[in-house]
Amino acid sequence: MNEDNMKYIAKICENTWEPLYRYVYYKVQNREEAEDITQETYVKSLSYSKFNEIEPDRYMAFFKTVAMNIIRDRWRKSKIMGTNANIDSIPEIEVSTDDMEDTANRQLFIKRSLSKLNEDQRKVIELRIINGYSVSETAKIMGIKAGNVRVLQYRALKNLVVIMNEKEDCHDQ
Amino acid sequence: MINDVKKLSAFIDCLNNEKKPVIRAGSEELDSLYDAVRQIKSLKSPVMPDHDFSDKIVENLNERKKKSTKSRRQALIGGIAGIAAILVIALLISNMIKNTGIVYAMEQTYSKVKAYHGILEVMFNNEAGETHIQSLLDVWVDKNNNYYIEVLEGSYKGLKTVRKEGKVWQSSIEKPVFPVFSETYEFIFELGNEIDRLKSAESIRIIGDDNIVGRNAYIMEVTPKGGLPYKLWVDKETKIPLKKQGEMSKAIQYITAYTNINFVDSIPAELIEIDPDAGFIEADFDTDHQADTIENDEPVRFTPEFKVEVDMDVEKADQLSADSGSSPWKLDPVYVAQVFVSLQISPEGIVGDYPVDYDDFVIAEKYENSVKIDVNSEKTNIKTVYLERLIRQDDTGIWTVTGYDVSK
Repeated sequence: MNEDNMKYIAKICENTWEPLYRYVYYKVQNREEAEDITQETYVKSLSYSKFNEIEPDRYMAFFKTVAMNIIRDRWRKSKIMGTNANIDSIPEIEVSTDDMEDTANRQLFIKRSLSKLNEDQRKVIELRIINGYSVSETAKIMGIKAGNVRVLQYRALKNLVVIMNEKEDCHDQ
Repeated sequence: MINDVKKLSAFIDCLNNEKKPVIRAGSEELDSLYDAVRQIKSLKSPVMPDHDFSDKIVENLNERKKKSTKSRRQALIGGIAGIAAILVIALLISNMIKNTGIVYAMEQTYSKVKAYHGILEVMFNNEAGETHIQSLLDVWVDKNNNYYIEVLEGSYKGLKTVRKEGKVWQSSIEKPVFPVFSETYEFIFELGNEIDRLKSAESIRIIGDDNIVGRNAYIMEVTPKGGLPYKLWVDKETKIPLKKQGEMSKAIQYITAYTNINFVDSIPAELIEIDPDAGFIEADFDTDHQADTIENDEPVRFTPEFKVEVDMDVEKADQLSADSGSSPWKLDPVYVAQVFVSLQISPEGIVGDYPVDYDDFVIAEKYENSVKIDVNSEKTNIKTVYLERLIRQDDTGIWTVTGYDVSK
């Protein structure tokens, strides 16, 4: 690629990386992995032999599909050696207007489910997961021992999964 | 269970530290808990990479390209595959330029414009799909923030508004007309502002083509940072925005469109020549209510005596209306406070003058995204109103009443 072509590629990356990164981040929820997957998405997308057949207005959708495949692939592998989660249930953001509505509904659903927990369980989740405090910081704020924070958050999440499953079943019916 | 408790905590720590989790779940139950953690985390905004992330991507692409070229040379020196790859890349690049470079192209085009003249139509669609023209404006704008706007059709027909050298003048009126373009409110569908908005938008995508007023245009869907998405029609040839359409909200959909637009060297001198004898008066908008914004590193939140429940869906719709040029008063915290207090006095609605005068509201403290306004009127027991920018935290964000005090 000559210098001019690289400038065009740079412009494309500059104009598209942010929504793509946000999309990936909402799936993986950590910066390290999101950066990694975003970079890999561009490498794979731009070396795809049929990329020129894609309509320009579908580029972002294509980038997101490639990113999703990378995430699926990584998590399939990690099932053998590391973490695993149901990525389809992680809300997406800004895939399209409809998806934004889905995201808002999903977020509302999560908030409502959280509100069903008792006060201590809700508090521990708020501090540990939403505010990102460490176990010792959370223990200090809540006036309990660190070990109790771990047990409390474990029970809170177990209850939350039950609540969410029940709500989803009701919704399905 | 103890093992799972520890694993779960370590998993949360990884995500909190923005690191890739490497803790094996090992059971379906723990998998579902990991999943729940990610879902809860998705309530937060993402942590963004460093500002040079885009450069890193390009650097990475460059490196990979060099490596693949080297290995290809080793395998097939001068082979057909190499030529095909170059052709694919050439095609690929020409397609990409068409799409993602459009904002850049718009910026480049607009940078060469000195001034423009257009006829701007402000319309709305109702739920029955009927289109009504709210106003028709003759608009002249230059790059020095001067403008001339004449209402050709609509409620303020004949009204002329001129901005020249930082001052705004209006003709044929006793008092400056609040909702028409003024210093305080953003000029709806000003080309420069529209392009700036695209640069800071959360996402932009081309969703189709159209032909409007004889011009071929892209239809872009723009999701701003805060507020609802809107559609923008951009001339394929000149790369200039021609039409803007908000979403249907509260049974109304606003549309602003230039029915024609020409680039000129300057606004004709006679149009921005202010002649007080011809009925022009300086529109001293809002000067009594101007207050310096106090800079603060942390967002300032007041603690009112009474909190006002806010429906975020309604606020998002109001932000969209303001973005479309409707309800510009929502961008003025004093006016929002006036409407709020007036509606407490007359909940059935306001007929005629507001029961509490605009001048009875005084900004006591103003921060970037929150403001405290004192009410100096015996007609209400509300003494202080608190407002915040809940949807978008910049000058284009609407103000919302979040609380009030009844005692000083």
